[in-house]
Amino acid sequence: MRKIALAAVWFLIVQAAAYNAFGAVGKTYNQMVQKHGALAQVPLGRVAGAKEAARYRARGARGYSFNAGRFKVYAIFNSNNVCFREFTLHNRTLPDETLLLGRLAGTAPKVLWRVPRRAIALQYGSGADAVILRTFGQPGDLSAEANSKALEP
Amino acid sequence: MYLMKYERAKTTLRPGLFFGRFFLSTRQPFPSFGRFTALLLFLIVLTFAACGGGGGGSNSINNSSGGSGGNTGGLGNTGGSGGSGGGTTPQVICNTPVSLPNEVPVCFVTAEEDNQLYINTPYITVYINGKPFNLLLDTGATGILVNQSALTASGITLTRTGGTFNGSFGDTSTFKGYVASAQVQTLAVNGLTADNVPIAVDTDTSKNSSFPPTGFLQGDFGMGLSPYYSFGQSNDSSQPGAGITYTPSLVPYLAGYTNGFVMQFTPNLNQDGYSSSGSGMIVYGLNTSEQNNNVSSGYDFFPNDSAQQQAYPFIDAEFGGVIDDPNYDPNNYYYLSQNYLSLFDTGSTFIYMDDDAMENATGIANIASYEYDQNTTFGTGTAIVNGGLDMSMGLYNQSGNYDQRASFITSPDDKNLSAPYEFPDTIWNIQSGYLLFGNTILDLGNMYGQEDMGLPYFFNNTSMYWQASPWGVGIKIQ
Repeated sequence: MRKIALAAVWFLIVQAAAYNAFGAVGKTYNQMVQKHGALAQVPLGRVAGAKEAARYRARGARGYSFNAGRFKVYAIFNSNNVCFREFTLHNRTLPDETLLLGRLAGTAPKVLWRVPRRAIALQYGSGADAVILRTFGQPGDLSAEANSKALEP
Repeated sequence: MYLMKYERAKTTLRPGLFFGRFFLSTRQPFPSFGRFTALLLFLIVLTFAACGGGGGGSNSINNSSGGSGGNTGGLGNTGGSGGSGGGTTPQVICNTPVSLPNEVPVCFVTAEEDNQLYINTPYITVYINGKPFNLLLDTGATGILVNQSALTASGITLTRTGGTFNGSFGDTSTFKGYVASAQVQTLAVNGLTADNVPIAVDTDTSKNSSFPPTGFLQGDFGMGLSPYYSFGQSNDSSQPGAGITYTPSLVPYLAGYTNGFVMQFTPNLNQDGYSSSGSGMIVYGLNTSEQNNNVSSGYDFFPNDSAQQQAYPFIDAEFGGVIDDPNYDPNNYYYLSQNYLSLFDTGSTFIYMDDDAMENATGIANIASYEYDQNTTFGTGTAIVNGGLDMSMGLYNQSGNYDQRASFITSPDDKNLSAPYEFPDTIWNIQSGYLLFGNTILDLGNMYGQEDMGLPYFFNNTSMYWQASPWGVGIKIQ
């Protein structure tokens, strides 16, 4: 009985670890639904530039939006139902980095570039795990985007 | 998209010179900022800087202070730091007062500090309760933000009159504090004073502070208009924040004028032989509840109506450039342009546009091939473009015509430039003078655009005037 209980606890820990393995970027569609509830599908043209949207469409990507606290979050999934890009637009504040980065939040990023007071690009993780977080905007009108190049379609 | 064909000319192309019909160059109510004047001013600045001696906080209109020492060797050098908190010696160039009514002289600083980089960044000296402070002249922010450390160093203690706040800029640098009230004066010729102006007092002393306590600039003079985007806006509140009454309360005090500001820029380009041969003029304006839409001769007014555009000076800009590629057409060159909604942003030192705008502005069909440094690129295609590109930007006037245009050539890799126009990569991993572009989330479909028309490096020695105006709110680049 005790072994079963320990196994159950271990199972839950592993599941929790898997669940938190990524923030939104890197999560599957099902994990996102589990975390945030139903996702609303949006046209790719609303979540990507015209050229990107056409490319993503041809490769089976899909766009969704959902609410996380006071943020409306947009997410794009590849044909394997894995989120490779997530962003928030035109908010008064930047979201907590855990919303977009998950377990990578809190790790030391590498500064790719910075426009003083207006934008910054940070790389979290490395290699296939690398996620680029980019923020942009003016005080009170801020946008943030996380993107995994490895997961892009 | 606008496409115009021209016969090939074997001279260096300057859209502004070739396509004179886009310019409104005859209206120049203010004297131009000539090379000789620039040289003279530069020598004056050198003299001031040489005598500066690294103090810690006094400010003057000819600003030789803020900690600049005797070393004027530029950003590549490290000597002479004082009150500016380390980094490099601030380089300051101030414009020549022209004694316009209510003129507020504007200076430009180039400096690298622990957490900030200023590249030809405009600032004005603002007197708060009689003490001078250098504040960023920022059309991309709303309200007045002043560092508490600077206030304390000047012997000023402000009483809290409002709530607390915290927020950040787009580069994640932060500010936080409380709302206070103070008297605000500017160094206008006629003297401009406003009492009981709400001020956001910035108590943020963290490493990521937007305006570090020992920094050259001690805060932000935001000229945006939306109370809901201002400094002092609570993260969780829908109520207006600190400094929001700056526009309605300060402006009426300005010698009876009813509207905000007019800025005039008089670029002295060709700095070091690299920067643009700039010409033309850009004017834009903002709606306020007090606007009268009266436009004086020589000024144009560009109304914006949506709530978001009222927050900051968004403008309908035309990005144009020249195709001069024999492979494209051996006999002709073309002028390409397209309209994009842009933010005119004096608080930004870069021009940011998406790749569509960039392709139209440069005439380069596959702009992604210009991604010069793979280290700066990532999934969304954002890149930094090296110099030498013909660019032009134009704005509608109130008649709907593109008779306002500024043209320039982007600066080259600043590794080829001499001090003070070179910047180390160590902190910023980015160099000055570039344009950023990318096919990004920031300019999607019918969302309002995020082309950011900063006051960039290639407007070296830009001269700018802020002037309280009876003509309606507007900004002028000339």
